[in-house]
Amino acid sequence: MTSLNLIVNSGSSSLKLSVFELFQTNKVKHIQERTFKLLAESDNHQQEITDHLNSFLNEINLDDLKLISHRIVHGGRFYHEPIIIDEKVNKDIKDLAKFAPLHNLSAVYAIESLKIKLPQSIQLAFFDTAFFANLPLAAKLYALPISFYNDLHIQRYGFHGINHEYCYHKIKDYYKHSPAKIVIAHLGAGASLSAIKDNQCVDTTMGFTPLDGLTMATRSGSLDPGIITYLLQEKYSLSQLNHILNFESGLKGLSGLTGNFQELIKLTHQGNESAKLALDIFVHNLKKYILAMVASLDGLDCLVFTGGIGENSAYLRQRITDELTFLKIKIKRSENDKLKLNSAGLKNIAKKSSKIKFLVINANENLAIALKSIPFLMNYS
Amino acid sequence: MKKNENDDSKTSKTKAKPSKVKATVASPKTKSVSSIQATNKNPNYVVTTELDERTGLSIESLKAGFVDHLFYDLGTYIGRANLNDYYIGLSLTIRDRLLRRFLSTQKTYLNKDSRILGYLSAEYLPGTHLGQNVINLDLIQEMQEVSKISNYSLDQLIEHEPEPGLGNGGLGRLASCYIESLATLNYPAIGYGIRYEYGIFRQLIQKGCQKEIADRWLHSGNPWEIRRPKQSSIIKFGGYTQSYTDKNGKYRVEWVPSYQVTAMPYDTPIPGYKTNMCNVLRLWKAEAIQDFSFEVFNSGNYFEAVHDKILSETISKILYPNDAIFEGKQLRLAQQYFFVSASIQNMIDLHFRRGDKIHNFHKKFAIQLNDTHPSIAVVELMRLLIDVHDLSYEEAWAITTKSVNYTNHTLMTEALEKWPISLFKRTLPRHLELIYEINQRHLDKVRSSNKYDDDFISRVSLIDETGERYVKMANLAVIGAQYINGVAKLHSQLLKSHLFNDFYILNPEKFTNVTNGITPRRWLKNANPNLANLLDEYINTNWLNDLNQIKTIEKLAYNKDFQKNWLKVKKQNKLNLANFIEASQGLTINPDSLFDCQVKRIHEYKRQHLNVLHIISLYNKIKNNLNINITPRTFIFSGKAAPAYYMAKQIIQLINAVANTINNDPNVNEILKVVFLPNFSVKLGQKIYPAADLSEQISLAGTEASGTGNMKFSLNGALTIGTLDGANIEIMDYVGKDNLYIFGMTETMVQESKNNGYNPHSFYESNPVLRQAIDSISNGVFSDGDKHIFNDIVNNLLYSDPFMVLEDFDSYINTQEKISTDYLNSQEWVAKSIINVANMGYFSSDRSINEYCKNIWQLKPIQVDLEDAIQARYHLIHHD
Repeated sequence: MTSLNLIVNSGSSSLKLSVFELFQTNKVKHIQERTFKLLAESDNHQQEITDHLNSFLNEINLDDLKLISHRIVHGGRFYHEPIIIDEKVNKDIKDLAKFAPLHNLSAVYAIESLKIKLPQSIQLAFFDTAFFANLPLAAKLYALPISFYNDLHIQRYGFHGINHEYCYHKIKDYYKHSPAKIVIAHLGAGASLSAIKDNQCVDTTMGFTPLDGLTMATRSGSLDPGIITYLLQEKYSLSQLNHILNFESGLKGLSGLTGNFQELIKLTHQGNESAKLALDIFVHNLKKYILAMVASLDGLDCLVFTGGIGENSAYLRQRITDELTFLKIKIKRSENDKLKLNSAGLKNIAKKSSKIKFLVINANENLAIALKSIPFLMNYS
Repeated sequence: MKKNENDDSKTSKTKAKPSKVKATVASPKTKSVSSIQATNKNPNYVVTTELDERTGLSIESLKAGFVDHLFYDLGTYIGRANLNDYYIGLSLTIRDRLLRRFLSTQKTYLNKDSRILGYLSAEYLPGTHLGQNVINLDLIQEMQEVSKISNYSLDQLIEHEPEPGLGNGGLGRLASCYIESLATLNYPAIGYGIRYEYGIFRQLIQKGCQKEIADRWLHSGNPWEIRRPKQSSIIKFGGYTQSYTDKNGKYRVEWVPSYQVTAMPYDTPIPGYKTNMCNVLRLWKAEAIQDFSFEVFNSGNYFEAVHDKILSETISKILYPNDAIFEGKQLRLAQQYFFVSASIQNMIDLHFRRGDKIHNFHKKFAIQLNDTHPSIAVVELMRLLIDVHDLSYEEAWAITTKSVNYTNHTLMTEALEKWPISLFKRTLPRHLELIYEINQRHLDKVRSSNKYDDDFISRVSLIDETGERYVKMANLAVIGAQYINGVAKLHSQLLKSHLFNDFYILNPEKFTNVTNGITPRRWLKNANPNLANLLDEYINTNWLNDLNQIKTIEKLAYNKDFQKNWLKVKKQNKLNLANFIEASQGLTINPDSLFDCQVKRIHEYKRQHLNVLHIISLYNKIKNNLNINITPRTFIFSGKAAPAYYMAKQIIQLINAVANTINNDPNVNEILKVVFLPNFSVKLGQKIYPAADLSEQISLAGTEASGTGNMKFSLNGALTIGTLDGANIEIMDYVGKDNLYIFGMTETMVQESKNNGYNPHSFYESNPVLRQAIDSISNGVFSDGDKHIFNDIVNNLLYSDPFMVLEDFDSYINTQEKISTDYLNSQEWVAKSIINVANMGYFSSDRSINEYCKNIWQLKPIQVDLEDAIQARYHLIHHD
């Protein structure tokens, strides 16, 4: 019996589809992958997503497709675990689109179109917020009237949980005794930190939406909320602001050039001042938030970089360790410069003498989802 | 002598067709040698045989049919087609062969004057068709060869078929066994039911709990059914009635419905085993009478235009997923009336097509109500006879009560349907009037004897007047039926002494028993080919057509060679299941361990939790003493719980929790394993029964009407641990009490214990093994320390225990201990296993059907002659 697992990772601007073969021995085999760009201007995302799915599914043997796993960005207050999508779950995901309109709706489109095409396959939801479900209340609540938390469900949800959790499990597998205090920096186009202490996630930088926290490629990160009310007052419309905060801010907005981190480094080396400023602000905020996480942990045993920037920018890793000297993270320069991850997709670049470990881990949300899908195979009997 | 298919061209490759036919019928599908040679220019394409790709049984014909279907029906070809295409193509190839039998059978119905059975059942569980049809047509080897050209094995194609889940459990499966037996025994019969678009839900297990999702079994196409628009009928609902005087001055009533629905028949051929007879399973789909109103559509209101269509089609949308609890939903009444009315109209239509008069209807048709669901048939037949066919009330009642018979399937009063008068009136106003009339005459008759008090009269009334007024459907079935039967001796006895005692006092001659049976063609030949092949080696006769022949192996019970072969078969079957469990669940089980199986609906009365308590007691035993010697066992569970049945779902969660703890405990998991296989089905049953060593039939005595799982296990060589309940008692009578394990209270003891004030807590207090077992649940041993998850189960057992699990526990555990010891004595165990199988002849559904035909339906077998394939088609061309 061949069991294939389709992973649907629907983002705000792209649809990443992977197929893995699953084995009951807790192994997976990567079969195929494609990323489709979604047209920002399209007014029919539903059709666009259906078309991409159909073209992708033509390439695989549908008879063997047993499970379809969706990355769902927002699971709200009640979804803390992977779950089989039935009518109710589908409706809840749709309702939660009010918190994450760019992401959840794409997922719903994919779910509904696959339900028609492959009604015999079981569809599963994996929530990006689930890993943060048990944050301590002190980290979870915003300093707003308490009724906003109780009634409007305004709280820190946290995102990128699938990869944060995956990295955390990688660390546990790598070390016999897992380090007690870990900060994971997921640094890609979106960026977030998580703080893990004694097997429990205790803090994170993203909040009610994925806009909070670090400076990102095109997202602003944390702001003085007064800025928003001022801009509203100055006749910026809601949708304008939404667009600016999500797509025109961050590195791109600061530099006025690009949100691409590697490009900005290149430009900085060529003497471009605005590129340099953007990077400086990025690093400044990253340092600040790493230490915020260290405060939540009351110490640090292990720092992890993951995601496109975290894995590929030796420059950033070096600069962070240099500028956080008092933490005394010592890394092997040569290993940082010519980074080679081991077969498990992980590397410790810290020197043996360094008290704090510095790991680089290959982010792989889709693989993480495939691994967590295996237990659901039991339903094919 | 029967003219059998084997006579015509199965082995001989050439067969001359009557030249007369060839000359008159231009059949595009039958290529003669000359025509192929004339049109085919390729000199390598030498045709030496006349290929009949639609009815021929040679490998060449079958292959040609397969390829043709892929090409012309599915628009694909070998190499391009996918698994589903191949499955459908091969099924259509088989269906072609069935249709010849099917049409010959239908023709025989019309030509012969014999009585026909209309079997009314709201549920069927036919299992997958392809494998069974290949067996019944005796084409196994041929089809194995044919399927090779697809690069899939016949088994893979059979496995791909989605199962029609048109029933909840035993009752639906029984109906399917009976339709197959009727065909095998050459009795003319039509199985009527509902073509549910969504069958029984698909059960998923998520974190140990049941989750239900819709089963879209029709999604990939159903190659077996044939839609018959010409035989559709109109079903009325709602509205009001008005009386009038007809032109003869007679008082008549007209029912003016508020809406009408089309009942569209879909026919699935059900062939008998190695016989020409091919009966039909006719399932009704609800369709809107018109697709939508163009007038409304054109005026721009699309929604309103399709609204009626949607409303009408809801009726056959979904099967109610309850097997022992009645839910008084209007849609359910509509479903029952819908298929009953369509079926009876269809029977009357057939009756007229045979050129007969309405006055003879009861002589030519027997109507069987499979449980209470189709009871409305009594009134519907009355209505059609009086309002439509203009008979007097008296004659209509005489015809009805000579046509209709009623099988009861449960003793639980909560399962018997009763409809609130208001709902009934809203849905079927004319029927309510007739029910009042029937009731009046019925009660007048009872009163006239002056023997009965008011309580008695109110009990036998069709109307429940104790609170809100209801129509009592079981009472209607009882007074409308000629015969009423239970499904096992004990059950029929209890019907007379308890459930229908009042009616038994009134009409003792109506009550009888027919113990259930199972068809050996599916439950042995299909499910367990290894055992069937072994039996073939030792029994020369056609034992699959006469299961009593199987008795001959009893004398080999201690024969060394036979035992060796027997063990080899069982071992192979266990390995197959172990491999399946490993592949699907990722769980390795020990094929040498005792496979202890309980597969059936999850219900408190079936007492899966008693089984779990035994497993926990073994677990505790090992934990108490790690060096203890215990016979290794693998416990296999499977079964669905009704979605709204909380306790049953808790039991599933408990089984999975115990499984999780035991399977992951290195001290225990070498000795014990627990498996819950999700989504039990006929298909899955076919994998489990042949591999079982022990069959758990542990319902509280007096609760299981018959059970048929017990028979399926025994027929496949498992020994039974069971209570004296349902058909267990008769299995004991046949296999001998030394060859199965009986424990627990008898039905009489149960009544006695209840009368004395059953106190479950006292058993908990006095039995330390039981106490430890229950305590380990409530202490969170199986729930990561969570002490509350299973509170409801624990409290239910300790303080209420309606199915007396705790009282039977001690006896159960002791019997299980004896089984553990006995299993180690392989020679004795195998002998018992052989003796069980040898004595299963009585439990063939052929025996049940013969009893029904002789004692209830007065049905005679008829001979179906196969028309020449070409002639058969000639009829199609010129007469349809």
